[in-house]
Amino acid sequence: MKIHKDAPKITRYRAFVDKVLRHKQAQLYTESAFAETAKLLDVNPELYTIWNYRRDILLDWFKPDTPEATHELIKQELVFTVGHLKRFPKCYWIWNHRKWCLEYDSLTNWDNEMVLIDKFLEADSRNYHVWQYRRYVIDRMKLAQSPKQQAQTDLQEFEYTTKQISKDISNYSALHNRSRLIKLLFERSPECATLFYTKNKHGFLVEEWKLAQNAFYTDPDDSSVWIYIKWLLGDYFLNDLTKDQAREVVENAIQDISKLNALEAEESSHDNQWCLKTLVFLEQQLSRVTGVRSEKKNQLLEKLVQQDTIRAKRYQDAKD
Amino acid sequence: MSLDKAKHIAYIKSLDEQKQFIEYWLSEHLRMNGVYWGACALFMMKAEDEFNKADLVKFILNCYDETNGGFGSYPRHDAHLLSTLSALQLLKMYDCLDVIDDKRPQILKFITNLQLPDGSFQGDRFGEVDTRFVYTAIQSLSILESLTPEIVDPAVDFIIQCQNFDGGFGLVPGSESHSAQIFTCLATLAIAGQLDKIKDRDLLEWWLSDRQLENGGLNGRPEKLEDVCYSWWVMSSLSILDRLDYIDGEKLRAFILECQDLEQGGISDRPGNQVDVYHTNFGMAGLSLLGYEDLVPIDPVYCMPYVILHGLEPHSISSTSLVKRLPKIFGILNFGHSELDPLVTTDDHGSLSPGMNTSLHEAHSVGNCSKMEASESKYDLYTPEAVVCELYEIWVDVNGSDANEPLNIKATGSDAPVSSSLLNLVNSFFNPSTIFRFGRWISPPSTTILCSDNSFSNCSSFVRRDGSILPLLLYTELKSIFPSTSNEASLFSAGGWIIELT
Repeated sequence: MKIHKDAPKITRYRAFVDKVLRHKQAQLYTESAFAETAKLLDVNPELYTIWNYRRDILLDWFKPDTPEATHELIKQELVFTVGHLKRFPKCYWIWNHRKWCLEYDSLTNWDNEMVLIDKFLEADSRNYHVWQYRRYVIDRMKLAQSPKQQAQTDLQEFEYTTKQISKDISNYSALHNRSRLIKLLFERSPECATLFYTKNKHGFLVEEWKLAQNAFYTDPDDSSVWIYIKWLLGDYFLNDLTKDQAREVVENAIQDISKLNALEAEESSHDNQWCLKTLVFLEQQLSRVTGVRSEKKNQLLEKLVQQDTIRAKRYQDAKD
Repeated sequence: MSLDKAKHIAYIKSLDEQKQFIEYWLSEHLRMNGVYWGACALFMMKAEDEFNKADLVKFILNCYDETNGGFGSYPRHDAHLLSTLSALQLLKMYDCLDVIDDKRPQILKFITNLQLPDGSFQGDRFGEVDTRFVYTAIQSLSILESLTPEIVDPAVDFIIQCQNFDGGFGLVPGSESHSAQIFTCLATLAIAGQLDKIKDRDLLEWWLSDRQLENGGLNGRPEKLEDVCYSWWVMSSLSILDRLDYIDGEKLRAFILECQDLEQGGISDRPGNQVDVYHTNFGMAGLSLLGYEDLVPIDPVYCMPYVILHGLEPHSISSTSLVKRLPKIFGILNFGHSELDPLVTTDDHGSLSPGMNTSLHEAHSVGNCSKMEASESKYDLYTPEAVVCELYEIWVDVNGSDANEPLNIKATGSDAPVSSSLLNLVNSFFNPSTIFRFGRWISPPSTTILCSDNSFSNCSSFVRRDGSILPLLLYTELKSIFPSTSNEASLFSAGGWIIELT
């Protein structure tokens, strides 16, 4: 029975926690105390207080040391966290500890970090913590780079998202990262990325539309790309296009998506809601560009009221 | 299916009787949060007395970390912002904040010292930054009534930087939108009274409502599975934006109820899974926001019972009490019309007369305030505070938003003795330079507010349909000035007061 099985475990665990906390209280910064924190964190990696104790010990050890000695200590600590991350890839405290370590290391091999990140993203391409860690590592790397190199790094990251999206078009985390990298690259880009470098938003949009098209033809029910399209044809891009360019881009998008919706309707005998939702947005954008009120917007919204009933109220509100 | 409150109460009570199981001891690092989740659920079920208040206070005080000045999650664990907020919420809910009176300076220091130059907060001294910690810090300071513009404004600037291409907010600038992070950001902005700083509001509202899946449940990010906890993170966000009706409440309710364990009590993340107190609380909080299952209404910003924070129950615009209450408010600040519509004022218990519909617009005309008739229905959720906000707006219309002269209020046409403190209060209120912003009334040095006691602590802010925000409160304060006003009629009797727009 569980109670009998648990009783000795509880006694042992509580005694051990008590011992480590007493050592912490006494500011005992010895190797054996440090080893005990590791043992305890193996059992329960969520004990933030014990991670704190571990950091206090490390801080004590860093004190008189050279960058090389600190680097050695941190290298071991990084190995320790990898073991835990493999078991608990979504534990905030462990990721946090790893970042904390890197803040004290002036000799980090960032390529190793990138290899680790790639592995974690292979295991789970949407892991929120890993993406976050990736951005952190990239930002840290960029600190030591010239503006030119920084732009190059951003471009590589942009290309990484292309790779991720072509592997799995539903990778919203990659699309998110892509959106911010695009903004960064339009601000500062290496010469080799001509569209970014010449700030040719129209040219970029025409290219990017191919990626979007490919995504929504692959899986028209996947929401990721539809949300991305709203940004792609939103004000960030359109505001920098000439009126004719903007009009053409939006009209083409409307045409493509309408075509897809017709195909979908033929197959399943009902509209694709993501097509309709996106068309509403595009009609809105079109009338903003042309100054002419959209006649189709309300019809589309009425269709959505009927078909996507759980969100009927928001469609009602959006009607002109 | 309905909410099996008896079972859930029993489940929450049983949580502290699990000491013979190892899991109890492996969750010490979350205990303070767990106790808060349990207590909050009990409050919603009007069963808060099931927790022994004396034991609770003892536990909280045992978790105080003398070295750092905040609360840890368990005795001898280090202070952290997350557990500190839970501790303060518990003390606030059980109305015993006074037990930490002697620790206040240290607690305030603990929290404020964690703010970084960019306005963000780290969770403790080890540098982890997250919009969750901004929210926990700002709410903690709000509970302690110690927010200042110096703290709030940089925090708001940081939050604004966390908004993304899809309208949502992430953990830090640049990180992906996530419903829970969106809640922490919106709630921070709401406490700061700065929801007007949100860009792309439509985009955000649509993104949030797209979290509902066909099975009724909500997910936290696109293309992820539904989970009961998002009944809170998404719905509180929609509530703060005044868009609760952008999803199907009935379907969500059915989904949450499906996640109940009808034998042991408790609610799980998805139907059939193991229950826990986190999902029990947040599932219930979602139901409460939607007004289901006769739960005590919860505040979408603070995640505590609304009545504890505001001294009043929230009123939905569709409730009959709305129209009934309006003339009473206008009775206090009556725009030149002392006669109120008898249909409304006399109908204290019965249903509304036919045609007396529920929009604020119509309610305005009922109040006979010609000036008010021009405004449109702006509030879905009606509270008396909204009316005071409207009055403020009119004043701004007349005087311009940067006018420095306070409104001149004269008491005429009433036999009631004029309360100078009320006059001063209202005068101060209508002075735009004394707008409430930070969880407490901020008064510039030049303004005297005679009622400067703690009667200003119960405040809320208000988002209008067009997205702008009008901060404020007041009804409860007026009540506190008229001591006999537990009887609303006496508030009404002040109806002869006239405000002259000069």
